[in-house]
Amino acid sequence: MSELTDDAARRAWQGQRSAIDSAGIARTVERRISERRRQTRVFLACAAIIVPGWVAAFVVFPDLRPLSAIGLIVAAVLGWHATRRQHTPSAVVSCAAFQLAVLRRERDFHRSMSTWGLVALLAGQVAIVATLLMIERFEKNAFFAGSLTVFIVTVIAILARAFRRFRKTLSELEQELSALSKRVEA
Amino acid sequence: MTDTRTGRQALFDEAVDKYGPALQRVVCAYEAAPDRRADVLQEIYLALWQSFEAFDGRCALGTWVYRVAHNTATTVCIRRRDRLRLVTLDDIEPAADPPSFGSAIDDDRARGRLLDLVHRLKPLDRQIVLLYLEGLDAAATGEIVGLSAGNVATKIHRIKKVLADQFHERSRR
Repeated sequence: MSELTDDAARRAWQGQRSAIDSAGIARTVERRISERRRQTRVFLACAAIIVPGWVAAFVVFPDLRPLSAIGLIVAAVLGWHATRRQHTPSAVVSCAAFQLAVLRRERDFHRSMSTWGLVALLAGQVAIVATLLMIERFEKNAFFAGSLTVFIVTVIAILARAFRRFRKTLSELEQELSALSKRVEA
Repeated sequence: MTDTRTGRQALFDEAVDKYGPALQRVVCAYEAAPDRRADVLQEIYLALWQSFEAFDGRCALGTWVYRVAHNTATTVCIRRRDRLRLVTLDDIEPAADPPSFGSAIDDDRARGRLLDLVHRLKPLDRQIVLLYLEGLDAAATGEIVGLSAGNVATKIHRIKKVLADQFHERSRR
């Protein structure tokens, strides 16, 4: 045995054999781009079906209008957060800058979801409960009261768990960001 | 800017031709599951193809390709919950039974250990180790990862120490 030289490690690393068909994959890039375009078209088609349906419900059922309006606001808030999270920073910047950008994006997402995202969700649930209590199409009997209680308890438990999870991840991301920033500035 | 499709295609072909094997090694270093590696490589090629629209020749093709490849592969790492268990080079302990480089059988075993080691590292340390193993110097590595050459040189010193603690080289006769 002897001391490890640069060449030995590099030779072994670069001598790796891989079963991936590199040239074949390179040829599929255009197909992948087409697939993404198709996914976007499917998403837009779904929106084109859901939105008019929503509007129709808004017009046809006047007693459900407050719920429809709040539902639309909640969908807009959550959709906006999800869209912002999908945005990937440019990959041509340095690796450190890229990681900082991705970590900041994740931190901002978790920060806003743990406040405004959950507020929007909570408002949606309050609107559901208020609508159930106010409209006359449901009979206010023991079954109704039991179901409503189960719904409220479940919603509170899920939102509390989501809040804790978002805050925990937010704290971890802030620590990672701080450590990486220090390294880049060093 | 690479505004013609032919120019973009030529750059892409050159990148695949020159850096194809290196990109496969990048993928192996980020994705431990062999059945998911082709997907990551495809993401990298897609990112490269899209990025060449903005290639203005202000940096070398290699720098551009490595940046795009590492940044695309890093998103795989960052999305995972287990990223919090990743460590820095300073946290790597010496191996109890270091394998050796030097023969084909030894190299296969040692490569497996090297991959295990790389998979445990945080993205920035992983990138510096991988670029070192690809044979890039401190200045080129610094340009790709965004750290000063001095900072990278210190890291390379640490990498050599870690590798020497983890592996041996069988004497060649």
